[in-house]
Amino acid sequence: MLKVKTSLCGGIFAIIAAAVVFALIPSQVHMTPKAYTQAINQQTMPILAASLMAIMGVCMIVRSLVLKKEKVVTIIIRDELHALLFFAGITAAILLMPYITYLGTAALVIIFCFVFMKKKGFKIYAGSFLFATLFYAAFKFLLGVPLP
Amino acid sequence: MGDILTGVISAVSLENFILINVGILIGTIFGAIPGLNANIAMVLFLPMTFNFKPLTAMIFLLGIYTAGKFGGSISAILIGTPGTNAAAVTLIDGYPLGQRGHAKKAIHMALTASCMGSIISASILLAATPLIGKVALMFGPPEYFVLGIFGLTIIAAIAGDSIFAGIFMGAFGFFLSTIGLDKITGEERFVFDNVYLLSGLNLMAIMVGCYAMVSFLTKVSGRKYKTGNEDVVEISKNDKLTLAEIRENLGVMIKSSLIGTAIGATPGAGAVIAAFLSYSEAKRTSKHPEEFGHGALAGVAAPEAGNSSLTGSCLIPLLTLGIPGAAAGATLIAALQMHGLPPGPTLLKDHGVEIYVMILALFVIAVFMYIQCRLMTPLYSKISVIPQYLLIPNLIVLCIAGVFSLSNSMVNLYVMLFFGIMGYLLRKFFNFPVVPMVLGFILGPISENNLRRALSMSRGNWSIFVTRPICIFFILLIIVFMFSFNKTMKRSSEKADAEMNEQIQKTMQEAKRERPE
Repeated sequence: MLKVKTSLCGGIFAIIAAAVVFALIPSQVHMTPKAYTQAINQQTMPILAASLMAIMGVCMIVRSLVLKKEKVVTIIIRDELHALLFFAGITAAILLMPYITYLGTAALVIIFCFVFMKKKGFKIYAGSFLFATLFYAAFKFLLGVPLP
Repeated sequence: MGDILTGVISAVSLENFILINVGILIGTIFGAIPGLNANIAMVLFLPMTFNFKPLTAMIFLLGIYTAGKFGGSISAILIGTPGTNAAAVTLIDGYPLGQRGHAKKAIHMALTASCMGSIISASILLAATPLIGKVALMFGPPEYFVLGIFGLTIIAAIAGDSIFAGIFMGAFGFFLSTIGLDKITGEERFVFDNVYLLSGLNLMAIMVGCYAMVSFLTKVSGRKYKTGNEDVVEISKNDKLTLAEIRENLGVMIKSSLIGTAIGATPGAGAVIAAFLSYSEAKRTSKHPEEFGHGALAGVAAPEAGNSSLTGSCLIPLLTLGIPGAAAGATLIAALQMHGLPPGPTLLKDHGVEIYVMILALFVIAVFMYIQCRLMTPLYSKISVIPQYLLIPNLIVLCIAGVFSLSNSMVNLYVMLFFGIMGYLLRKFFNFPVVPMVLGFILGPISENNLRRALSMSRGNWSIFVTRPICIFFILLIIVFMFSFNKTMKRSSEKADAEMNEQIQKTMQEAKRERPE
């Protein structure tokens, strides 16, 4: 189990996120010579957003350390690993979609989910495959969206 | 008026009627299944509306939204588990009614109250829209900018436990909205030489990631998919809701609808507060307050009317000012944007016909909902116990199809996965709410463009924002909201939650004691 101080850790995360945005702005937001003379240019909004993110980060840290207002959440690492493993499985199935088509991915997702949740039974597999085929047909023929 | 009539005539089509009913069916099912809600349903089905006409798409989504509010009461009555947060109040009297063999009566009472709530709030929306629309016409770029900040502030303040976390997420959403080509100069921002990022991140992919994927991961993490064997109450055929019973509760339904409408028009106040206040008021003024908590029909009618009347009234700030009152409002704003109806004060001026037809559609939806849900009642005992392990894979497959179809590219699926895991981790580890981020992403471009226009008007002078009356009004509202109203709302919400939980526990204990072995 892991105990996380949400305000303190969230504040630190917010400041890091703001610092990353600040660091990226010069290289990722191209400025035209004219823009330097304007009251507002293409860098203004990202700077405002990053500044606000940093200020909120500081506020969260002050709330935790100075005002001693803190909410502690307990993270059960085993449960989180369970969720991450599930996410990894779904991600893998989606990444394979260009090679195995939508129906192949759908079949993989369904099999993975049921195996992961330890559910057996012909009916649930058959029903889910049928649903996936119906989605495919609905998108392709009713909505005119070609799925791979 | 002539335009509106033309709009109504053009909206009367078999296609629209079918889609309204499909929307109602989807909304009821998603509302009835604990852990799902109307917002997730709207997010999942929004990509499917891509090829629909704007009005058809909006009517379909409003069908989902309206029916989702009622759907929550079904599982509250049948299995003692509310399908939505607000339906927890319905459980207090609905579940004992179900346990005593009056499940059908309770569901029909909830349905009648929901339809009445929707109709009353839609009537008020119809009357209020032109008035607010007139004020909205006085808005210029500085007012739009301040309004954008106001919208973000109230949602950031209400969502989650900490206002700082909410504003951080809103600012993060603002930042995300800057990714892509700058609309005014055409310069690249945060694209990392990736051509797919030139058009920016797709809002729908973000929403599916943040709402649906986060919801699935939360269920998997808590191993909540194992449920599905709840004791479901039987629906008896002969248990009819009589006209006398409807007449008896008419006053409660009307009063609760008005309470819900007033609360719904306040951005950030939620359905739980509306339902709880309506219930408390009904109990306070009842001739038999001792019956409440033991299966009083008025205890079902009041929260359902209060909760459902939010559907119309939350559209008041949404359609007139472009401010969503809750997560579902943010989804409706995304839908408006996706279908070329840019939200904000100009929406009514530029697309008045569509807006009025949408409002009128709320009446039609309520009528269809009443008919459809009465016919579907026997099936509800099956729907409310659909196990999560069956839903999760099928909904993920639907998410994949929907998100891929947004632009027929894999990029949106990667965006969905990224925001799914990011939203999940941020919520789990730091308790950061995702709704303000989505709203920041929606309001970002509107605010930025208007900030630029406002500063061009004032030749770079920032004092333009404190010299115009409407701007000053909204700035004052932001201050009041952040330092006072926000705390009051949270306190009343916490109080309502605590009282409601206590009452529910009492009801469940009583139901257990009374249940025959």
